[in-house]
Amino acid sequence: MIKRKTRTAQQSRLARVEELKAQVRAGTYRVDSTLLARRILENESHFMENNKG
Amino acid sequence: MTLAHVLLNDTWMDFVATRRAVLRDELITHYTPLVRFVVGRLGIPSTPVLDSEDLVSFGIIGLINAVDRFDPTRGVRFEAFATARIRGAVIDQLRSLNWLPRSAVARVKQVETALSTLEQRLGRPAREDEAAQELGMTLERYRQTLMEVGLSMLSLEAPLSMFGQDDELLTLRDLLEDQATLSPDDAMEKKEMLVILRSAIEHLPEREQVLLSLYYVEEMTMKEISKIMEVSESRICQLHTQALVRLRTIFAEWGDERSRKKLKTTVSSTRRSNKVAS
Repeated sequence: MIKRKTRTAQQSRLARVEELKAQVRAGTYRVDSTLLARRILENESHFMENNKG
Repeated sequence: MTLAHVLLNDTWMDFVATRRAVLRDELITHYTPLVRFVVGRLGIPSTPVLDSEDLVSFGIIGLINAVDRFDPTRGVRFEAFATARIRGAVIDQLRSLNWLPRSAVARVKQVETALSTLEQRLGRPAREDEAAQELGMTLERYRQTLMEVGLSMLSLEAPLSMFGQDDELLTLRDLLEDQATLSPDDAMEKKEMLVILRSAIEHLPEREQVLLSLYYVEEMTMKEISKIMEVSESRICQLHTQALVRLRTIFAEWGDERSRKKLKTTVSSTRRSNKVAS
């Protein structure tokens, strides 16, 4: 069951990679800068450390 | 909810109630691909003395820690809970092997200064050849330095030991998602941080914006991004580092400006208090 689930997840991930590749190639991939800013701040703790005034 | 989800949920509930080793092993096995995913996103290059399997084994320590401490009744997704621990465990192990020496942090500063100086001079983000020239390096050496800087930046990350008593690492995510508990000043500051960072992102070269979005928003690994953008994985790591250094520079300038303002306000209010007292 778990193996099958992992295989399905891998397949859908590969499909997502192909989809994104096509968008980037075509120049239609759009960056949401607000969402990206949030995600960077959530993931890169050194940005916070850098600004402890 | 699928049957697999129900089974997994049952395994968690049984494990929390009984702490049976067999259930623990089952959960660890189930989540091992998560470790590979998190390690793949760190973008740490393999070397003859430390390959990706070593990194995965470091990550497994974080996974085991997460399985042992996770409380499914708290409504947090295990993947989110475990990701910070896996990442933290890898970084802690690299630190203990002296792979991320503090002295390397100086190199981050050098690249930050070069990119910042050039941006002010040129009025646009500097190209790699310009940055290399500013640092007195060949382009090849500059790219190699970016790889080293990427590792050094990991060393600036919060260590695993920063997990608090109640087992949660306080990140900006917590602050951002719980605006109601912030003081008006803090809420304003967080909002300002987001605005500054968003504006900095919009000034990055388009390729770096796309790369960062693929990494942080789409949650792709370095390998997957290299397939999407059709360049090598090491090139993606270099560009990722360069983009982060550019953002850190802008962010640091804003931080300095904010500190100066704070200091000015403190001095003014101290002067006012002294006047009233005298």
